[in-house]
Amino acid sequence: MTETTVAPERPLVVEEGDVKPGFIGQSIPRKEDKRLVQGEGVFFDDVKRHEMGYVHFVRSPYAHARIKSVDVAKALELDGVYGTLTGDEVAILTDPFFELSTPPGANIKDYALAVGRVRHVGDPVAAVVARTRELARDAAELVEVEYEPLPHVLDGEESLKDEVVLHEDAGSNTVWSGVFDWGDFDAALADADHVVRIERLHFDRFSSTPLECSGCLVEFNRGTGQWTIHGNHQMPGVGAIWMAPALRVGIDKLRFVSQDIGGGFGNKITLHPQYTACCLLARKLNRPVQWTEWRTDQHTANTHGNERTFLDVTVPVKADGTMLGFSVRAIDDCGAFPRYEPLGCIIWAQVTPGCYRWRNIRVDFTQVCTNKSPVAPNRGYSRMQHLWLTERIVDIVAGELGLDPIEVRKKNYVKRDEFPYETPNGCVYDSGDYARCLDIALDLIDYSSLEEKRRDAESRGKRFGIGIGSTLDSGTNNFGQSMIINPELQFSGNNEVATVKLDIFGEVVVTLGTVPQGQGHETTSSQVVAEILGCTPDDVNVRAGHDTYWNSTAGFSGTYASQFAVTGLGAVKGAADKLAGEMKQLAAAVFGCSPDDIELVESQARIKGNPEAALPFMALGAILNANNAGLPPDLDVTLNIRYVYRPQFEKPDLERKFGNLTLTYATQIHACAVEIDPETGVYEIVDYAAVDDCGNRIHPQIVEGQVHGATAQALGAATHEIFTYDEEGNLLTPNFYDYHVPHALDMPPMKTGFIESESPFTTLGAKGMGEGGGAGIHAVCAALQNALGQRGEGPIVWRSCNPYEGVWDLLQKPEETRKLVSVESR
Amino acid sequence: MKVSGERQFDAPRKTVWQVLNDPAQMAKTMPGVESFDIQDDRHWRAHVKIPLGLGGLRMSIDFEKTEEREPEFAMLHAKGNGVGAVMNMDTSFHLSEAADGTTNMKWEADVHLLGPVASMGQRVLQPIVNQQVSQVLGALEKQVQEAKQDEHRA
Amino acid sequence: MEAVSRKTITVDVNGDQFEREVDARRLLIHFIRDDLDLTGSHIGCDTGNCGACSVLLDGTLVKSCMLLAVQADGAKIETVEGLAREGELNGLQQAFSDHHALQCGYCTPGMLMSATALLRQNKSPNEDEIRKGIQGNICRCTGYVNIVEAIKAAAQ
Repeated sequence: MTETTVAPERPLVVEEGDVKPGFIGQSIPRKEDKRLVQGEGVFFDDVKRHEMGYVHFVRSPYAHARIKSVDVAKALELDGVYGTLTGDEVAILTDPFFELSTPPGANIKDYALAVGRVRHVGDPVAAVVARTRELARDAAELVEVEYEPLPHVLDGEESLKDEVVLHEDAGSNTVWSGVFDWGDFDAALADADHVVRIERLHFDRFSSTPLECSGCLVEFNRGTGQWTIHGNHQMPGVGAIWMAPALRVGIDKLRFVSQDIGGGFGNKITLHPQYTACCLLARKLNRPVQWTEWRTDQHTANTHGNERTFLDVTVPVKADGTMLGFSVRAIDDCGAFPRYEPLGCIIWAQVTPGCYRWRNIRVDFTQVCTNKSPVAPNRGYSRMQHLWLTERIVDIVAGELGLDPIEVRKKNYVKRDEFPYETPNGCVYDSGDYARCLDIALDLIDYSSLEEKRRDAESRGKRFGIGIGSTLDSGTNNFGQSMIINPELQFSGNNEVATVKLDIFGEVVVTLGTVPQGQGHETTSSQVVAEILGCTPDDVNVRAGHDTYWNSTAGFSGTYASQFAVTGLGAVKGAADKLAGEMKQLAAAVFGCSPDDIELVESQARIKGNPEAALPFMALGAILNANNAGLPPDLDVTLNIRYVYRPQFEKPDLERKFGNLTLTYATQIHACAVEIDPETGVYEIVDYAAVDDCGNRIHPQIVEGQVHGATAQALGAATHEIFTYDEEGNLLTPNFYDYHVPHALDMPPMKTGFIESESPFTTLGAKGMGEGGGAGIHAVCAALQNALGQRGEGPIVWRSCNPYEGVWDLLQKPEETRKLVSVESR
Repeated sequence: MKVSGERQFDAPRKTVWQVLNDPAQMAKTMPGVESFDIQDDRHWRAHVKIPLGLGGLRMSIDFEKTEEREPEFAMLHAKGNGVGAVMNMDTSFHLSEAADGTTNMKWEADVHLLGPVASMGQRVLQPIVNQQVSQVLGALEKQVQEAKQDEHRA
Repeated sequence: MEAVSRKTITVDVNGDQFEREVDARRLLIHFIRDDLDLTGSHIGCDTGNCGACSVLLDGTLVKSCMLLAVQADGAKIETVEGLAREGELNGLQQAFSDHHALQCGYCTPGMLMSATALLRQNKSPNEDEIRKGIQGNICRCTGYVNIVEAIKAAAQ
């Protein structure tokens, strides 16, 4: 198993001699590594406080039930139990979290603990705090809850009938629904030579299941009424927007602190219910409380990725293979509570036509609640499901009409010279070259020897297939898209903060607003700052982690939605540029020259052309901070710059659901070859290539690491990872015994390649990336389809997760899925 | 999960009926019963230990007789609570007289298991249930024979 | 609730001696993390599947969430904190950094201990042996590509 990296034939980085060699673009050693390889990282569960109590949640065994009574008396009798919290208390002490949806979703009442009713297995009904983890668990078993079981609904389509309604206040299981109609789909249909119809496709439930579970240690300061939450929330700014009004306090009463986080992948964005319960307990019991989620709790009751069913997909196609668009009815199952939803009902629209030049698209989108775990923005959030649809469309159309899936893609891809490209719904694809990425991917898996490989596999009794997955990783949200869902919402644009200062001993200190979980923000920030200030990355001290009270955050601070390279580093660059200006001003005042005469090199401010006239950073820091008598009165410098990066966005046109919803579009084109054993359905990925284009790469090694990781998650989701429920609503894959994530031996040989299409819209020409691995799901599905059925014969790969037994089913009963597809040719 | 079956007893229907409707005798048929309290003739509670992997699962099970048509039909609801598991069961049996003074019993049970144990144990549940059922039926046979002999003696 | 029995145990961790009274039911990983405050070893799954808690017990690689603290009485335990000498990374740790074999770093301590055990038994493992050596450790960030490369490099 080897890894090959293909360098671009036509490097898109700066021309030789254009810019001095710097740190941006180099894979320097990561600053984070030294502590992490020594076990000296600080994750939330490593933080301890004197006399802290451990929290354990009492959870519902029922998918849906009325809570008749909760009796904590026996738990409280146990020696070492500090106290409890019940839903009734929560209902008195807090207000429901605000909902993003319009009615009916707006009327859902979501609290920190279940109030009156449980709506999924694992729904927390009470919390117990005790001296040790073990005691807390013992005590939780002594809490007596009497339930009256209610009928439940586990399927999204079934839920639409409202025969069982989860939220009485909403009166319906529908959270949000709307029709998106761009171009002229009816005209496209009339104009088509073939119409391909797909009755049903289903994107399965899974989650990227970070290895570190959720949790927090919460301290309450009685004197100031302020909570400190040492946790692993990956979007604390938004967490506070949920929590503060619910707790009826000002937002500054909530201080979020984290240093190292053991992976997030979006699953740590909706921790506000559990955190609110912990805040209430810390205040009630007047002691620090610590909650570490158990793995089983994470799987049953933290978050899953959105499950989506696509019905009545209709695709008008011209005789030459040009596709004119598609229409679809999408049903998104968000589980028991919407929480971050219904944003997923619009996020997909960032990539409405996928990588294709499709102009006529109609999507009837409905989101519903079911008695399953709530969802959260899992890596690739909402776009992944939608892009899987666009890729299944391409492969099924190609298969049914006897077209080459490679040629059909190239024919329909947005072309290199068409960027910036405006999609039918007003999004602007900034740059890219999809066809070239595809060619590199095909080279990497040696496409020219495809037929030979197929013959070889067939001679061994195997079926051979090859598949392509094309995705766009849209990054840097325009939060104005939330107004398309709910015009009342007061969110638009985006922002991120960084603070860069020169301290008294000449130390460059960077404070980020982001909340890194392994993306190397300390490292890449130091590269940018070093380049601007004329020092080395080693000279730049980037504070590890996040702390609201560092005053380096804004409303959308966090690490999510593929944006650090744009927003985070945009803020770092903005702050460093300003600081550089101030350092020059200060040096100029000292030397009595113009700031334009000063250059910053080798950790000094010096007069250009005169290396003798130099002030080391230490001198600059000391003069301003401690030795400032005699400086000119009008010298307005602080050497402490807080900069807010704000991408330029407009509010979308709500009537037409039209506008630019995101700033950058990284490309990932994956190619995959599989061999299936037709006797058993067992298949092996025998070759795999991932090609990435995220504009200018700040740190190529980190970018490649993101590609590897996202691909591994996608391959897990394509082959094994699925949240399966039994008819009672019990989750059958509640931990890593039953929920199989890829191990080292499961991973195929992975080849990677890249090109760099600079983004015209960002300060560094970089694009957010890291979520594009959904391509792996599309590529595996395409390869299975290629191996199993073509040209109107064989089964249709209609689900995103295809474990071996699923493939065996497809092989045994091809007619059952074959009937999902029909072609009308004129 | 639904399970059902049929069983022949070499005893008159009346005898079988009595065994099936006497909580004290039924308690002897259930595997792993550690204690048994009779509240009234329709409600009783058993504390049982069900063998399940390491150590066994302790449950307290409340039985309620919900329907009864002597001497041919009865229906019971059982609700069990244990660490990591909740069980709900509806079971019924139908007795009919067969040839040579024997009795035929048709029975069915609808078992709902919830909680972490259900999630983890789902794949091994069927054999465990089958094993439990065969033990109950074996023990029932024994109780019926004993009751029959007691009647003879009396 | 039955009374919880307690027992005093003695262990050697990375060359330091510790004597502590523990609940008989305390897991070794909780003993290491909470009682000894050696928080380098992590917990990822509670079921012995993920390997984040891997340590060496008398030279044998174990998942410390699958053992009770009392089972380690008298044992010599090696954890990630013992790998570097006076702040100097050992070859394996350095290779992990050089090859970008870690992102969030949560699985890394367990991964390093598995790799340490592997390299003690097999000084120059091939790729397949490396993958087998770390098959008990889950990493959700890297796809294992760079971890394998790092262990390969450290072996040389």
